[in-house]
Amino acid sequence: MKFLIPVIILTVIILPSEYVIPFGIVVMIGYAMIDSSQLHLFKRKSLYTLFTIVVIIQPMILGSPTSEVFGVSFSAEALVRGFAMFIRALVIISSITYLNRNTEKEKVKEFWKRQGMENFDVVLAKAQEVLPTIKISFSDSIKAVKKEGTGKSWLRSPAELLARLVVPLLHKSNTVIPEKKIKEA
Amino acid sequence: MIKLLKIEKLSEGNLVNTSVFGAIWGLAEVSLGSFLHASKIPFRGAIMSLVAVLILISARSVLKYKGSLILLGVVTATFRLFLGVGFNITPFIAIFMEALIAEIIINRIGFNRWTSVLSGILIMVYSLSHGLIMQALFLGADIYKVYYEMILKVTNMISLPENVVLAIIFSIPFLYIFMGAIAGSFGWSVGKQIQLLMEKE
Repeated sequence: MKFLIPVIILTVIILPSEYVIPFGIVVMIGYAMIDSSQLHLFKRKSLYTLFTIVVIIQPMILGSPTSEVFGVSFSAEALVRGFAMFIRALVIISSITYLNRNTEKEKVKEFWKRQGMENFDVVLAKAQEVLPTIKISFSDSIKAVKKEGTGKSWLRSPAELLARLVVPLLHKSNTVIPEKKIKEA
Repeated sequence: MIKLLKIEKLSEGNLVNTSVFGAIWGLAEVSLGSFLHASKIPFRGAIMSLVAVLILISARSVLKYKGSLILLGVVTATFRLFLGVGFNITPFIAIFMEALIAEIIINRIGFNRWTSVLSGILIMVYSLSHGLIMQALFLGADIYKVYYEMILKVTNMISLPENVVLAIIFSIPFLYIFMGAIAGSFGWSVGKQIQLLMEKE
């Protein structure tokens, strides 16, 4: 299935508007049958905002009016165009969400390692490890600045303020990390 | 398989410092990025790109090995992919591309205030085109037609002269370039301060 997704995305990008609609509907039904959680996409407010803009508002204000429903005139061409846009976005977002959900972190790490970033997993693990320390250190530094009442002088040299936030977290030496330590990390 | 790049085994210092900058950028992406995403503030991509310029340029003053900025970008992009709120593939691409631009410019030309400014400008130019490219990818090239027709309609409605409309449209890239240059220069100043403070300690 994963190998089909790039083909689906490419097809939906290349296909002309009039073919995107039936193709996209079939794909979405397929996705829903394979993984019903794909339907959670319809809970997103942004999806309805997109629908309102491209499918409802756009045909009413753009293009020359060719049809009328309940006294509201709209361009049929713009309606098809808007609907195709909406379906295209829906298919692409669903496809990437599916791919994202079914890709393991380990495989991402392996991929970057294969691209020549030997230390990628160690750096990522270390970054996750230092994240809480950074949060605490930043809030402590900001509290200290407020307490000292030096806020105004910091405003005069913001570069120094930012540097002072970062420097305590940095490693000062450049000693080579032992092989064993890398494996342990 | 063709390798994108070869980053040699890192020293402990480089490893820790790359992790720290990756975590800072990741934290900014996950917290500020997610907040901006949720609040639907306009130009949120540009705001995040300015943060990226600042972090990339200041990080380069400490991370002096080849490929450091790409590694930093990949770590942050992976953070955003797995920890961020919402649809994370477009920020993933943006982060990676921003790091790639900075790496190419700084590695090819050298690291000084001017290349930092140039990197900032190019990252912001990419940031502007990223939105347009992604919209065309997700919604199709018809979105440009919609924008064009919409601009025509609005200008006719409020009877704005064509010159004024063009001036407004073209001022946006200039604003991006200007902000990118400032962020690049400021990032370089932060980097210099980091170097000075590290030397003192």
